[in-house]
Amino acid sequence: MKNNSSKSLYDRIPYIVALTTYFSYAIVICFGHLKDFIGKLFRREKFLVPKGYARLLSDFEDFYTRRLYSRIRDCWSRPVCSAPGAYIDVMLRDVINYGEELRINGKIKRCLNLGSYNYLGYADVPGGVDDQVLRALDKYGIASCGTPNDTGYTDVHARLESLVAEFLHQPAALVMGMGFATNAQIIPCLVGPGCLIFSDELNHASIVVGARASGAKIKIFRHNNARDLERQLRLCIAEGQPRTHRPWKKILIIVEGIYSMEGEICPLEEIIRVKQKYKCYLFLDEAHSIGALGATGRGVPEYWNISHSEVDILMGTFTKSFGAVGGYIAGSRELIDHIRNGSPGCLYSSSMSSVCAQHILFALEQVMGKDKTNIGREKIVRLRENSIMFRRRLIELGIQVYGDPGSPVIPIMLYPPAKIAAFSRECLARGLAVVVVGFPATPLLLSRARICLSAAHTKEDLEYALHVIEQVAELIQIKYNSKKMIEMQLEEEEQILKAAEERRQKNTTSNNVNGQVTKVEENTRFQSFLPSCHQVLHGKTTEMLDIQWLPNHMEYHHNRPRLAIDSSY
Amino acid sequence: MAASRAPTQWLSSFGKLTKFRTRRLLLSQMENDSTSIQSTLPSFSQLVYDIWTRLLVYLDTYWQLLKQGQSDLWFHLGVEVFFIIIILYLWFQKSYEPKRRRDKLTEKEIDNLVHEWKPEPLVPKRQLSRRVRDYLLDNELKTLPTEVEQLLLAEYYERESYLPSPREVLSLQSAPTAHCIVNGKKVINLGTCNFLGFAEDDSIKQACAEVLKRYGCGSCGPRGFYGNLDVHIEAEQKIAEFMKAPAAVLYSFGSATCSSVIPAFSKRGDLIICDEAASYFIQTGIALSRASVRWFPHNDMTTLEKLLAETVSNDPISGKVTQRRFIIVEGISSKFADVTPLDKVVELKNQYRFRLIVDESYSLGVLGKTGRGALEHFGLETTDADIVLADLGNAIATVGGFCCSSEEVANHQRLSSAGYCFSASQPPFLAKACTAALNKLQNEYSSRLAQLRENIQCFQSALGTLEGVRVVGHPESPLIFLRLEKSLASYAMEEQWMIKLQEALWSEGVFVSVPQYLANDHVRPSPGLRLCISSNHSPKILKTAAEKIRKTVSKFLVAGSPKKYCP
Repeated sequence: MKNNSSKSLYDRIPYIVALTTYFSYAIVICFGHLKDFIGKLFRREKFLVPKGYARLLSDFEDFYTRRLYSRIRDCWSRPVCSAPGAYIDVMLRDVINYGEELRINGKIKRCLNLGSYNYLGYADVPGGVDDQVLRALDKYGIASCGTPNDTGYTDVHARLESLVAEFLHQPAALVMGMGFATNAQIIPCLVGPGCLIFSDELNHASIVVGARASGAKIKIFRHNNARDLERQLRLCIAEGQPRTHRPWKKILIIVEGIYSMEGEICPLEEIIRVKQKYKCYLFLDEAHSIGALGATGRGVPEYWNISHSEVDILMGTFTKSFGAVGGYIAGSRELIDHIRNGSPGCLYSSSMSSVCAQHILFALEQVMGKDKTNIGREKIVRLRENSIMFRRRLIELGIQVYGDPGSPVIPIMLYPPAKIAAFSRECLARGLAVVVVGFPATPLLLSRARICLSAAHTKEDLEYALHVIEQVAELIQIKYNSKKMIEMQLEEEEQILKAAEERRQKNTTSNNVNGQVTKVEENTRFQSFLPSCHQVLHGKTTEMLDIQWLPNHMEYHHNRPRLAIDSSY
Repeated sequence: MAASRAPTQWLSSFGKLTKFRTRRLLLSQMENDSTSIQSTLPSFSQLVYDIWTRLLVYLDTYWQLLKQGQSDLWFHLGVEVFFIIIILYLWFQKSYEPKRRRDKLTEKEIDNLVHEWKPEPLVPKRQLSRRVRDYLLDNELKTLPTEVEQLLLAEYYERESYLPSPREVLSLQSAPTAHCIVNGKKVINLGTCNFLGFAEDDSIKQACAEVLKRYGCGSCGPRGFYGNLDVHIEAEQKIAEFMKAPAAVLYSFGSATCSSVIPAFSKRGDLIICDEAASYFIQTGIALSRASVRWFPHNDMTTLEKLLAETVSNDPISGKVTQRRFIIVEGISSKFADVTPLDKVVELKNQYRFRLIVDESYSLGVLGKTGRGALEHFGLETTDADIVLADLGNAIATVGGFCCSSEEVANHQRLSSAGYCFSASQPPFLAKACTAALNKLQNEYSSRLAQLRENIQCFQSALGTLEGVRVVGHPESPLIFLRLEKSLASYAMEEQWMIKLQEALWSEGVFVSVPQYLANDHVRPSPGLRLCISSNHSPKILKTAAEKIRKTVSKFLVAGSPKKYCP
């Protein structure tokens, strides 16, 4: 277990960086107010509110959007015109009047994709989607135009639900059409007024929405900190409900498997210990960890070598690892029956499109090895190797990264706001599509770039990505770690990986089905590399000829003769 | 240069001050060098210097006078010292704090309390009530053993019946076409909201298949992070063009649309006036926004006006209000299938300066000359409402939702609306389905909508009136509800009755829907059958279906209990 429970995310910021970050926000805000002041003097009509109405947008939010966000707006919502596979075609835009308008200029740039949640590479299977998905489109139509509890339930949904239940070793499961809505519309069915929710401070917005909609009292505990959870739990149970001091009806702890902005893995062992000790229920959101963690992709419980039935409510999404859309809940049959008949998500929302359900079935069958191939398992192993390798290399570069080794989400810390835009733009110019995040999605100081690795990335892709990130890191000076810190962190990572490996060994010996999983032939790993390389080097469309980074990338490849690409061409 | 010189001069002037302490020297300095100092020192240091010198001179004079023995000065000195002491006392005194008596629990006491605490089960136990219900249905509701009656009463009081009983779901095995296959049987489909038959339309399916082949299934990211595909942008433009609105925002799920849009604009302290029968997700949106809310009875315009007038009556004369105010209504009500008089609502909204949010989920593609919804039905434009929302899962037959509004409102949502920002974007093929369906509707609206209206009329006249059953619906609404006139002993039993009716109808060859409502829904309509008419039904099918429904329902009513009826 990583001892980050006592460590705050703020500990690693160098003082001078923290100071300059605050300073740069102060400057931008001052200039923003100055501009507003002048604007109100000379361009009154832009700030006028119709008489008798209140301003529709609240002041700070509006100010933030106009004066801070719009300056670097081009780093987000980049239009894309390809499948979100290992490479994506980003449509470039012209920035007009400091971000007031972004106009698509018709140029297209092919980039290595480090931004999409395509962990297992199911966003881009050969031929777009499998044939059975197209057949499902033909048979079931686009959507079933009904609610899952009533008329919108098809036999594809039924098959998917039983397969999900089997995958997670649970008696039953249900699926919904949207991952966000799964949390937002099902938590209110589990708890209500008089109940208490303990939620990790970094939980996803959908959990926050669901918890607030439920009417239960919400308490926040420190991120990944089971000790803080226990301390607060004891007090809450002892004191009962506020004011009336009646005992709580039930207490639900909500945690995520992998935290999407931090890349940290939930310390499930400790949480479960607390949960059992204090008779609470546990809701585990595996949006990012299902498919991505564990030797067979069964998520955090498998990573910690814990039985899935220790968790009361297993929730996850199909958007990430399975390259579709929607969410699931797995648990006891009673629980699923209850949710199916008593949650707004099942009674009033539309059901998942059968086409998506079929795609998930296809992906899940591969992951479970039901299609008699080894493809799914190879993908899981490749993803893990990619994440471990990429993370270690980033640390060696002296870049500050958060999260746990083995998680496919790797945040790179940037801190000052100007570096958000610089990192994103410089990477794009070099053919790397990365996601950057700043305030308000993160705390003011902790702006970051987020790398999402995929099983679709080959070693060469990642080498190239590392090469670019090194260049950019040098350029914008984000190598905040000293040599000593690098060594310390590497050592720490080594220990965690060793422990994880031991757990996996224990798991495989107890369950010899998974015996051959960990070894993957070198040859098969590079098979999928060939088409993507082919696309890159020979161009997929004519627009791709003006790819700026192409010569650079090729040169890079030629400098490294031992790569597989040379032996294959 | 000037800036760097200033501090050194300032320091040197301080140095001078500390050197010349005695009165004589100070005075001579004042008299002789004042001109030279003025020329060399910057103005701020000059000021400090002046004050300091004057203070010293004053104290010095005071001391001299005291030494000369003027007694009234001693009195002055005493008073001043007294005041200084009081000031210092007030300054350093601790602020008043009433002593809080908090009896802290000891660790052992907490342990005991924790040990004592018994949580409720995660899933409410319902087996008992289900058994009771089955027993009642089997025994025709009449001869109740006292123990069962007691159980039923207990159930009623404990609000266990507040949760519907689990049911076996009929599962669809084909596209939701006019005839569909349900649980292995070919039946007439009156169950799905595929009003215009777009779900199985070949050209739309073709377009979707192409997108699937090109873009894969999911988009693997929110719109902000590389989940913003060109098909999404195209769909948004198409929606804006179709609705004749300045901008549109596409959501990946219909039900997440209103529960995200409402809290993005109304906050604590704002006011929402909402139709009582608004859908559950509008209620969720209002609850999440934490705005204060007032409800008016379903479609009751006089009460609405009264509420609006009441609110406005307290406004300042200057007309400056800081409270955002919204009216929220649905186009076609999802619970009662009637049309909201939007002409009146828009008139009131303009008169009392409220903003209007209209949910067109069931009216989009159904009402209005070109199918733009209830606003068009009343001869209004989309821009007459401030925000127009719709679920794309009904007439447009895809999965998703949208929000039409001004540019400003649309842009705000892209950062502040939870369901847009924090959710993966709609799968590209579903966005394409939306574009293709709207294109088709734009080209063929006259024939499709005319067909739909004809079908609705045909079905309603074929169904006629049923004894003991209320037929709820608007002459132009494709939704029709059948509800019992005389309600049964409990809500749960009525629901069970309807579910049995649904099963019986299925075995007769008609697939209908029985929507269930949550107990915490603001208005919980009594359970009923929901029939959906589509433009691709033929009159013959509709007449057969109506006949079968008439027959089955009357048999059920005569039997009094569904169990007695054996198909």
